Amino acid sequence: MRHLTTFTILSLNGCYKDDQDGIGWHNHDEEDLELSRQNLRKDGSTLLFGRKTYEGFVDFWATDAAFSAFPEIAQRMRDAEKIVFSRTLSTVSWQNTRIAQNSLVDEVRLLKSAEGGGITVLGSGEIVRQLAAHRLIDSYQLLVDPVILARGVSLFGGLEQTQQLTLLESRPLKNGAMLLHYQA
Amino acid sequence: MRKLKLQVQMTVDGFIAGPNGQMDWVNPNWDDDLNQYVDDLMETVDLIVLGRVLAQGFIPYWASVATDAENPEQASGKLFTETPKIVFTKTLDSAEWQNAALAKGDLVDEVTQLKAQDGQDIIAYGGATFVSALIKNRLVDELNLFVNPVAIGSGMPIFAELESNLALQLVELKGFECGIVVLKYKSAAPA
Repeated sequence: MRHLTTFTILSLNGCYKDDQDGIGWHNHDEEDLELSRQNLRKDGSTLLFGRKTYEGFVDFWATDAAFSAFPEIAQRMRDAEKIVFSRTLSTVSWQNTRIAQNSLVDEVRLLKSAEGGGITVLGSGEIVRQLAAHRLIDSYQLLVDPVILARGVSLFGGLEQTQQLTLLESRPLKNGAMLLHYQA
Repeated sequence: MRKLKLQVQMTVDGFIAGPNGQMDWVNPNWDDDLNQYVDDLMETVDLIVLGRVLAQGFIPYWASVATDAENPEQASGKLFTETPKIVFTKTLDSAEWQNAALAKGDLVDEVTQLKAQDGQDIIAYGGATFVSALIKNRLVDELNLFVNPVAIGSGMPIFAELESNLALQLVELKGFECGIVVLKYKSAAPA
């Protein structure tokens, strides 16, 4: 069974986006890059994306600018198998990328039951929210910013039953955010 | 100016109780370090403020613990019983408890007055309605969130009354062996 982990930026009250669909409160910095890098293993992990995160990532990580500024991460992003969940995209241009043919839950169940390395969801809050509701996530890496959103969308809002977790790691980051790592 | 601290049990998704007030997700088995942390938090406190709903459970419960020599938490029971308390209510006419007075006026006025008086820190434990009002009115100076390793999907929030985003500053983060992470935040200085 392949291990499915997520790396998600959250507000302190558990929201992955505000009511404008934005994460404008978050300041990207070298620490989140390092955390992203750690999530991109050399051994060919699979990355899952929602359409919005995919489009944001390809716009940057597939460019020459990304390869010159962050060669290691850009290379691993390019080499990783990437699967995009979208009802509207019909083609994808990034190398090693395909659009999922099945529903999210079916596709992820299939992927997890096959042989292979780790599966990681970077960002893609909509995807994480649905996978969380279906108990398909094995560990959560939550980068929690020191802000409480007045209006936002909860990452765990789809849960119908309590999900017990086990704390693996908690540590503050330099920018005032923190990392919480839980096993589901 | 006295500091108003908040101390609450919380889920990873930011609730302090289930939809019907359930607390069955709270880890009751605190390790020694966490017990010590809570003792330290209380060290500088000389006033507890409570919403009426919580007070009706909290005050009699700890009063009974205080008189029960068999109870391992007797010392906490005595501390909570002996510490002066102010219960915020619109419906009660008189306080029926030891060391407790009622505040029936406007929340912001009452809390602002308390903070302006001489004394040590003030602490709030709940409940959800009372704490939501404190947060909405930006009266809390320090948040001590005891994040339990659990997500519940829906429940009683304390941040839902906010009308705009509240920026905080992380003061301390401490993970405990029992799985609880304590987060200490203070209000970020207004920009």
